[in-house]
Amino acid sequence: MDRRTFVKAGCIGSASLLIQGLDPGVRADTVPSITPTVELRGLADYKASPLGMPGLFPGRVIEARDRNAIVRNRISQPIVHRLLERAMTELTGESSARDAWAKFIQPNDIVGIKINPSGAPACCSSPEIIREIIAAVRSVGVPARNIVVYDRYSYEIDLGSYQALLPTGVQIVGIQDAFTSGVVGYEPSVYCDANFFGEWETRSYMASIVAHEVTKIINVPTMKDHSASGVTGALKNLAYGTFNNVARTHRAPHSFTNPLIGLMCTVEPLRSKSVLHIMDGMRLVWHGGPLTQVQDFIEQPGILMVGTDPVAMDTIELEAIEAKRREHGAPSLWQHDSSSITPDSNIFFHDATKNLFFRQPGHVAAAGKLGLGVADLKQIDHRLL
Amino acid sequence: MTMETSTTKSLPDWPTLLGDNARTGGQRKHQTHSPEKAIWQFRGSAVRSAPVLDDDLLYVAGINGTIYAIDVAKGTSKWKFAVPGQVHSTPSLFGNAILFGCDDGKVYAVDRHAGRKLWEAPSQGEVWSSPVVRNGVVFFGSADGKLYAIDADTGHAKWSQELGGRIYSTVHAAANAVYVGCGDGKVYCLDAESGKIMWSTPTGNGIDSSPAVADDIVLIGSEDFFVYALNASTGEVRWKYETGLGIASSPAVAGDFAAIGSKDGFLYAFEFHTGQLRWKTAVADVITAPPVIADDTICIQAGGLFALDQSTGKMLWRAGLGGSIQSVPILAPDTIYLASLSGEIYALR
Repeated sequence: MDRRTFVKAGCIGSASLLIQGLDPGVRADTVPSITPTVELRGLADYKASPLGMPGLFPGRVIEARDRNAIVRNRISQPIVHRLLERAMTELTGESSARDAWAKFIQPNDIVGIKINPSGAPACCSSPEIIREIIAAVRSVGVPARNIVVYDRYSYEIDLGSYQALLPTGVQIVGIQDAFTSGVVGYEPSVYCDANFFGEWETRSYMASIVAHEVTKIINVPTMKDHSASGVTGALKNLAYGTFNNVARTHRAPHSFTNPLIGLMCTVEPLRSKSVLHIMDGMRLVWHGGPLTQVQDFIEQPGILMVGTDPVAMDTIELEAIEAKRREHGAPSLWQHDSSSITPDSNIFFHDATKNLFFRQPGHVAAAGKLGLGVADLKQIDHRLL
Repeated sequence: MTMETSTTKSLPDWPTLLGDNARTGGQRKHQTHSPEKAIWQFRGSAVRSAPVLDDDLLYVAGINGTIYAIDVAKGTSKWKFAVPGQVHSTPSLFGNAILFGCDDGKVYAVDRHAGRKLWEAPSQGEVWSSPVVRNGVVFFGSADGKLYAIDADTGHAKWSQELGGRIYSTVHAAANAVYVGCGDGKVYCLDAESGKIMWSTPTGNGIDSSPAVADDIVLIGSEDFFVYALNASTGEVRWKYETGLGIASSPAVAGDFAAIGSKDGFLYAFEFHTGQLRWKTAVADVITAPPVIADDTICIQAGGLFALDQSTGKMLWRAGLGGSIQSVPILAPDTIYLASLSGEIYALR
């Protein structure tokens, strides 16, 4: 019996969930023929919350937009403030922004704000939006010291200068440094286990800050395409920003981001604690994501989306990026043509017809099938402000 | 009549990030050449900050809280000193002490020959800025939003002053005033003796950059994309220049030459007194580190080490080592020392 078999044997009869053969939603010739078994293990005895995904307003997405919210890459703090207030009151039906926030956050909460600094400085969760979220959370009585702005990598947070730009008192945490390994900062009993490409370490562990420290999570994804998953939105920001050892799910040109992104989002307590998603669409990356710094592929529509349903939000995002790619004559995110694949990241970053992987935008709909939200555009209550 | 009892006031100052406006780390300007080989490689822990060199010891602060004193002749550790928090602060040298800030909220002074603690001084937030020294007083900013002045002999507090945001900018300490950028977007000038705010000048976003000060001009970058040259006496804007993205890099200044990087990936060179652009050169995708000025050459770490001709901005050579976003190379007379985010320290010759 090898080490991993021994560990798995110890899990039998526990709360682990075995999912086999979940429809990956992609053509058979573009993925390895065997879909791996994914074993999910949540935090023992954790009681699910009704605020958990898809949350209080399944299928509802509020999109606030102002062209002047971002001008020549500079974001207007007053306009962002106004957009967020309007979106939150529209989402909740409350008359005041404070009452809207109070539907999700209580004064005794430890609030995690999950940013996406990947791609900084060209496109990352805008510090201006994070400032507004912090101010709103504080308005319902949460002290600054109980607000934690976090992501996986310290050096990416550093690139975004969040440390200098956010208010005093809040904690800013990088779960791991760029080159640290092992499970420091991660909870060993909460994981996703799957062998995608024969890798030695088949587990991805949940960050301890999510498992144990924060009581609520406000998710602040950006609006970007993603070379492997199609888009990186609310679902991927949560999943791949919470679990470690996730790069192993891509091996060019293949990617198992579908189904893993959705599966990870079902693991408790991530699912229950993620009560609100605020998508930063000040910038929209339609090619080269998630790391591009090439401004040719980054537009500045000044969008802010708010909702509790990450699937509905990502469905809207996916449509917007598809539309933008069509407008620029770039191939669909759904295209799985071998001639579009390049192993050269420099070519990929500068040529919108090329990609590193067969993208897996089907991860959004797959997450819908897992009960995380609504993926059918016709059923989404998409309100434009 | 008062007696001068301090033992440190007669020691050379370390008044700004890396000791001087050229960011040489106390090495002064001299010629540098394209390195041909690594004479040694030291494996430490991940490093964000810049190393400093003196007395044949290279001091490197690992993010994991370990400070290494490396014998540069051998490339081996002479001593290590561990603190209980992460370290992102670039060390400063003063007398027999190495000074650095820590995420545990303290500034530490460590005997740089023996590797033992001399004193520690508290703040209420992490200290990423470098402690600087002028006239026997250590100045540093903290993420708690306060600027601190402490006695360099004892670490005892002299004064503290609350500013409007987090302070990650390193102070520039002049004879009677100290200058610093702040997360609230303002550049501050404080009286060095009392900590009283003399003036503050707003920019359009928070400030991560550390100022250089010369000829009554304060030069600093802002996350609002602009480089600002302010009148050091009044705070009035003398000139400003717009780059393509925010600026976390700190300026290096030598005579009438000034250079600073931007997150747009360009290194910009100016006439210091007028702000006239001399050249701009695309170096990497992103620049956040300060450049260092050698004799006729300017070097910068931006995922690798790059050397540019100071007069033209032409790329002279590059080395694919020292992957780092904030560190600064030490340009010693015959050797270049380089720290990296991967934890490798290189001596190149």
